[in-house]
Amino acid sequence: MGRTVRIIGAPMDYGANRRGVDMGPSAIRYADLAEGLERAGVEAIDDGDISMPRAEERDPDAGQPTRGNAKFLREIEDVCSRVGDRVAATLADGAFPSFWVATTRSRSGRSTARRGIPISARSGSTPTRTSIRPKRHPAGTSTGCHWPLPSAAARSGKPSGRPRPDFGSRRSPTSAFGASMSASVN
Amino acid sequence: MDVVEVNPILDEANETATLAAELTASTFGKRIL
Repeated sequence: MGRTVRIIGAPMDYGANRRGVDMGPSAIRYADLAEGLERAGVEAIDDGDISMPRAEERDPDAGQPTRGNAKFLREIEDVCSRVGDRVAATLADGAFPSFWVATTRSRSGRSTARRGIPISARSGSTPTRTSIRPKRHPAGTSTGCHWPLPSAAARSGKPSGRPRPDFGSRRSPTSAFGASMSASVN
Repeated sequence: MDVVEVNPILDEANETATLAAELTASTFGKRIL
């Protein structure tokens, strides 16, 4: 079929009071997401998780908006921006970004994206849990970025054209991410 | 593509995550009938 899906995990649960969705990407991978995609005739490439600081190590009230309230606003904004970068890089690479709650993009989008190895191309990979699971994140292919990551704009020295979201209205940015996953295909 | 929120702490035997994986495969053309 020629379609490629890149799986990008974003293990984040900053916004809500009930914890646990940061484990969503792991649970969905455990449920054989990649194998299911491959059975559907799609090449699945697992790009690993986007690195994320633990909520316990951050101040949820830092970086409050000028009006309204927000938890972990700085962290959420940073993560969302990195997810957006990662998705853009994946699309530019001709693949469909399937990111799970918790998602984003990295320093050199393209090269990072290519670090992923198609699961079907990995030696000895067969569609069984026991044989694939240990290989899901071979060293050097899993996490594509590190925290904190300079944005593409920061790297190029140009201001980001992305409009800053208005967090004035009370809402939970994380809920939009929930444990969602998205994927990108060409 | 927003599929479903998965909270493993609240899930039972990973059923929601399994559903998420299956829904995603279906989105990409997997036939179940």
